[in-house]
Amino acid sequence: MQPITTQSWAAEATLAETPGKLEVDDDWVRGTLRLTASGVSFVPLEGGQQRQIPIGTLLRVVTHDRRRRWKKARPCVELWAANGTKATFDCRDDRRRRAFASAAEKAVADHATGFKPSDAGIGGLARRRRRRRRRHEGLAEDTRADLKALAARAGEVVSVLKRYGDASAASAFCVADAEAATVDTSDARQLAASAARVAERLLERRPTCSLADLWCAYNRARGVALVSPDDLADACARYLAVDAPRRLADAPVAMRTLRSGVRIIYNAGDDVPGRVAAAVPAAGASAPAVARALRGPAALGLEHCLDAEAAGRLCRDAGPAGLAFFPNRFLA
Amino acid sequence: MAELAAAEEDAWSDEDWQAFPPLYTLQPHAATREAQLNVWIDLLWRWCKAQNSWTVDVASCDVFVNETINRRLDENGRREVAKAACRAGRGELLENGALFVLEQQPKDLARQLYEWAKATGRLGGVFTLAELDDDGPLAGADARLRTAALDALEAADRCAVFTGATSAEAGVKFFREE
Repeated sequence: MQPITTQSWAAEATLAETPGKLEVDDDWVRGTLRLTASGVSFVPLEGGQQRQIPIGTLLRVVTHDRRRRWKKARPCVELWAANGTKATFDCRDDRRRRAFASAAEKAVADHATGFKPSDAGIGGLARRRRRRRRRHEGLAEDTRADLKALAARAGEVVSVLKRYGDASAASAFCVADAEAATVDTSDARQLAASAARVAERLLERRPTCSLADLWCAYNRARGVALVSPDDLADACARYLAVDAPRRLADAPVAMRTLRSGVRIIYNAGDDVPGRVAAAVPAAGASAPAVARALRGPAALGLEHCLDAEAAGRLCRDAGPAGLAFFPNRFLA
Repeated sequence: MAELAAAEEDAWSDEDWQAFPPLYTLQPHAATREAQLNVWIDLLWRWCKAQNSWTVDVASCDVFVNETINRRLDENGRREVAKAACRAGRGELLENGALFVLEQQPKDLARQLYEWAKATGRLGGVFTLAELDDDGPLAGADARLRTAALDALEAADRCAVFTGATSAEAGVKFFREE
């Protein structure tokens, strides 16, 4: 047995107990062998070193009768530990020896399967509930501490955002609009009016934008309550399109459909083909160059050029390097 | 006056047009295409005048090519130019596919011929074509144009054309005015 003392073992419930003599260095010490849930411990009668075998290292409990020629046979318990040591314990009588051995074997088997007596019974249930509550309280405490730390940093984050927001105030994408956030998306008329206001801000930077750009900017302005693309497209088609019968009279923007089906938003009364033609230099330009000059998306460059060509403002040149567009001198 | 002067400066010369790359691409827009084909007809007319050869094979004519800007009008475009010239009455498609460009309208040439005949006192007389070739508005004109002009004058009832054994003996009689 290892001479390690653990105070907590003394507080545990005793599963079995037998008095007797422990063989220590060719000498016998009287004491009591005690089985608890943590293992087997030996308490000497006259005090002195207590010994323990943890239940995990206990391999076997063997009972046999120790015979000496000139003495009578004594009932004996052998405890085999995992590191190869054996402890021999003479029990006082056979009944207690049998009880101890069976209890020890049961304890070893329970340890192998993971069963603990403290988990059994009503007391075990209460103990488990208390343990769970303690764990959850610990978790809540940690979360509260984390949130407090986050709130302390959030102030810094908001001040940084404000600084960048002021720097690019002209960009409609950074502005969260309280008015846009409260518009009811089921009312198409209100939705179209609100989207028109956002579009007006967006069109300060460039002459035209696509319906997808307006949808992105509008949702950014709305914040959390997003509007679906179908709703916005439907509202714009009903109330903002150039040829809509119920077009909003004072809408600052209008919507047109180009030849390929792309829908663009532009300032009402603005001449978009004229602007596109003005963006093309006299020496001609390719469609992506026109898109760059218009500060619009590259995919819309060709659409705008074709639109201006259909309006007679541009003419095309199918050269070996690709398609280019020139100001239309034929109709000038 | 200032506007006129500005318009003169703004109007492009032949070289300006021939250096304009979109001229060599048949435009899809209807109005632009019409203007483009008119430009081509004018270019073609001035080319024929410079070469003094009024029959043009559109497939191989050099007026449709500009090596400097590496552009050429494709087959379809050349056919369109020929068709537009015929529609505008400034050219005729011949049987072998070539285009005969009219230097001027046959009616105009016919009128000039009659005026000249009146001015030189040839009304009521009969002249061979060879005599008419020496002098007058028919001199230097292409044979087909001459024939077309005489046909137009005949249709206007101002002359009568007699075909002789050879073309040199063909004659024209100018009618007097009534």
